[in-house]
Amino acid sequence: MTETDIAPEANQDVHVRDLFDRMTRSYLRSVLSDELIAEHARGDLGHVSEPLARLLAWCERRPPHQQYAVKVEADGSFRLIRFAGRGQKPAYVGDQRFATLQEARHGAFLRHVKDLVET
Amino acid sequence: MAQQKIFGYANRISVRPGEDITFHVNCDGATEADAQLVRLIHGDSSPAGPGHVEVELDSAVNGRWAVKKQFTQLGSYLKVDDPARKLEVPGSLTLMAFIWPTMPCHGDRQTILGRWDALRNVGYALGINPAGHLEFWVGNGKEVDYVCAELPLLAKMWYFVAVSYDRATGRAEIYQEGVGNRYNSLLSKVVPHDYASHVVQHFRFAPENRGDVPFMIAGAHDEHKLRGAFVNDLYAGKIDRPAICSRALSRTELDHCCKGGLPPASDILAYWDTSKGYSAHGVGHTVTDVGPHGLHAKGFNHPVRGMTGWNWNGKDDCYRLDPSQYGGIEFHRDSVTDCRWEPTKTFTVPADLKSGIYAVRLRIGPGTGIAEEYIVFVVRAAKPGGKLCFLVPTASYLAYGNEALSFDAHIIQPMTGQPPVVTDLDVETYEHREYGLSTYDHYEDDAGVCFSSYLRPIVNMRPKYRMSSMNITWQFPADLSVVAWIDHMGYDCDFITDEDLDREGVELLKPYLCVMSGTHPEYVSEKMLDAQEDYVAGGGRLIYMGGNGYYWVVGFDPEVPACMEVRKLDSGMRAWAARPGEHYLQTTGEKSGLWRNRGRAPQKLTGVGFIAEGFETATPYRKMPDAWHRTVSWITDGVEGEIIGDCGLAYGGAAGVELDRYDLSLGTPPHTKIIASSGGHSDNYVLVTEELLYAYAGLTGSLDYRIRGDITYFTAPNDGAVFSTGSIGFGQALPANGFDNSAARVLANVVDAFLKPGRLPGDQWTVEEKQWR
Ligand SMILES: [Fe+2]
Repeated sequence: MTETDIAPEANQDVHVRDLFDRMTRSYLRSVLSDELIAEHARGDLGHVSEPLARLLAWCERRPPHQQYAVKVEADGSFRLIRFAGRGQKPAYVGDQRFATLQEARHGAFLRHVKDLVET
Repeated sequence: MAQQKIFGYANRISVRPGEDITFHVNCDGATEADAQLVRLIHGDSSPAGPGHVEVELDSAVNGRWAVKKQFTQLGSYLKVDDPARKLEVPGSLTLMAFIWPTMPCHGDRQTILGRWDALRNVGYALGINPAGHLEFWVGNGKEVDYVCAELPLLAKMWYFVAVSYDRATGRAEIYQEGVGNRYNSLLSKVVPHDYASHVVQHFRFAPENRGDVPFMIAGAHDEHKLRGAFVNDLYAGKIDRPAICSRALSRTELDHCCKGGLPPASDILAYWDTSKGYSAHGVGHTVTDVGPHGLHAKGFNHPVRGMTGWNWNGKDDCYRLDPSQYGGIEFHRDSVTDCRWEPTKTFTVPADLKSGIYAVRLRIGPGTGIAEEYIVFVVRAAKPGGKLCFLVPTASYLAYGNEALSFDAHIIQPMTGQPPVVTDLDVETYEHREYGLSTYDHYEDDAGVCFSSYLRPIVNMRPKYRMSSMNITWQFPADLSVVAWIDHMGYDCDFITDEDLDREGVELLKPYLCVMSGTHPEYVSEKMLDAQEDYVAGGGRLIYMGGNGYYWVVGFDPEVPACMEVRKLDSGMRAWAARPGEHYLQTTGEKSGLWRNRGRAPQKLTGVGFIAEGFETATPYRKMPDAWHRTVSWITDGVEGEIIGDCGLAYGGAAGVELDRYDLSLGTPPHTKIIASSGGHSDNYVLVTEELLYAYAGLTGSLDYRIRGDITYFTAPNDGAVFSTGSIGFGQALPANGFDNSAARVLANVVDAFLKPGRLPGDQWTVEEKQWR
């Protein structure tokens, strides 16, 4: 390898994404409220308020290892999982079982909100 | 006890009475399975519909089947046919190739070419070592000796690589030079990197040769106690013009080869000219050896051809212009287009079996989830009997076969607006990944998947399956909602598949008064499109039952009709983008991508074409002024008020999921009537990318009137006609409320009219009224 040769670098784009994420979170924390959480709990789909739409957009765009998904169990209940990377078995998140899909989705939403506030 | 699971596939997807179909089954945790022939009626468990409905049939195929564990060879590679063992080289040799590796630093060994036995460490091979360096290694059954380049290879860069090995002295010299130009590789010459490496090593011993070890390109022979022989040390990336010579070529001679020259003719043992074999209709799986022995190589699991080679100049963007620039063959370590399992059972379809959608249901242990399998197939009519024909969109089933968007696609949650809902079956198939990918997925090396075949289990081509990212039925199980409606209505219907239509053309459609599509017939070959166009022009009546149909240009492999090819490019809602210069189907020679970009937008055949997609919610349609026009008011007979399709199994409405619209600028016939249209969709509904010139804020459901599904109707020559629903969700709306709903009513009006020969309703009005309103 020559003196000027390229060295394998980590993707520097990650820092730019972090900056954007800090700005987004700052806005989302400013609009987060009990009413917003209640709006999601109602499970109205489609035309939601703008703050909720933006919060959901943030949740959906988080990196894969920060996403949540719903797993249907053999007994018909629902649990939360997180994908573990290509070809890997997803891991359960918590041990809560939800009776309905809507409750499980809201459970995933509350986890995102917790992540937003705490990290 | 091992986890109990059962998977299978059939050797064909469409079969006539009297013909044979063979089933191949892989089973863990059981030695016998309960087999039962069933006719599939409905496959959506949604409480808004009838649930899963199947009819068990008496059959010779029923009973206990002996089943066993079967193994699947993943990865594409070339195997050389060398019966006289010309490549069991006793003396000196040179190996060479142009390569474009995609995962050189992946932590495991990759074979470029050689005759290597990985179990016994016998033979020779040129490849990439686990650290990503070019390496030549030899083995004598006890030890391995090797020589490697100084630097790891860079991904997606073209190199010329070689080794000269002199058996008498043991001298082995690695030759590595970069051959990137302004177009052919990832990086430009502005990058300060030295691609060259020339290293000499003296080996302590000479390689042995085992007689039964095959010479392979992009893989090496290995063996496993249970599995037997298989191919290991698979290579990821492109290889162009690999060769082997019977002498240690000099540095100067290799410099000549590095510039594209041939080695001295008298030294060539084999020279696979990967650019040979192209015609205007594509290229097959045989790779031609232009050397003295004609040691041609054959591709397994569809190595991808029609790919740019080391000398691609960036100007000739199709292999038809200059095949010599298209010697690149691309290999993927996780491709599988034929599981090649041993047959488990062969079934002769009885002469009296009615045309329909059938499956052999296999159960072991608990008989649910992954302990239950449905091997689905279509039975055609012995002779066309019904007036109605359902064209089963099997090409589109293949395109989506085993998709794993929920797991791997970062865009999927923003796209669907909801977290995925996955089952044990999804986790099982994703974790093991032995049954291959869909054209919505990427290989491990990040290239998009362009081939999909049914010679492997396809877990989402079954009843009961729900697409996890969207939590609705999709493709096959969604189409069963249309099948259930046909059954409920008591129509006498024959079933045919895309594969049949591609082979037999318009003659296959001509006997029928009316042909219905599936809910999402997105993948269409030229022969399929021609046949449907000719059918309608000749007086046929087509009902396009879906959304985002007649969209991608696909080809069926002439040698393996079970395998379909698509290249996604330029525009359109697409999971990946083919690289520059790689836009042409190897199976047919045609440019792939969207039919719209080849002058055949779906509007020209159906009146409507893709405009938007969205998930979570759906809406009804509202009648448009044309609904009351006296030439077409019969279509909405019995539908009071303005609303059509206000319930359904896909998000509760008939207009949803993927939507198509009327657009005169794309060739909607000028006299087309818009019977009804949706609108006011949520902002999860977004405009499709092929509509985009400039992007601007707000190209979403609540802000852009173009985002809607249109129900359209137009008449064609010779009493032909086309009715389109403009929405995927329309089919899933049919079973709602016990099949008693306004969408089903409209469709029944149309089918009833279409099944009467002669003039269509509304025909008595003047030509002027009909054509120009
Ligand atoms: Fe699609």
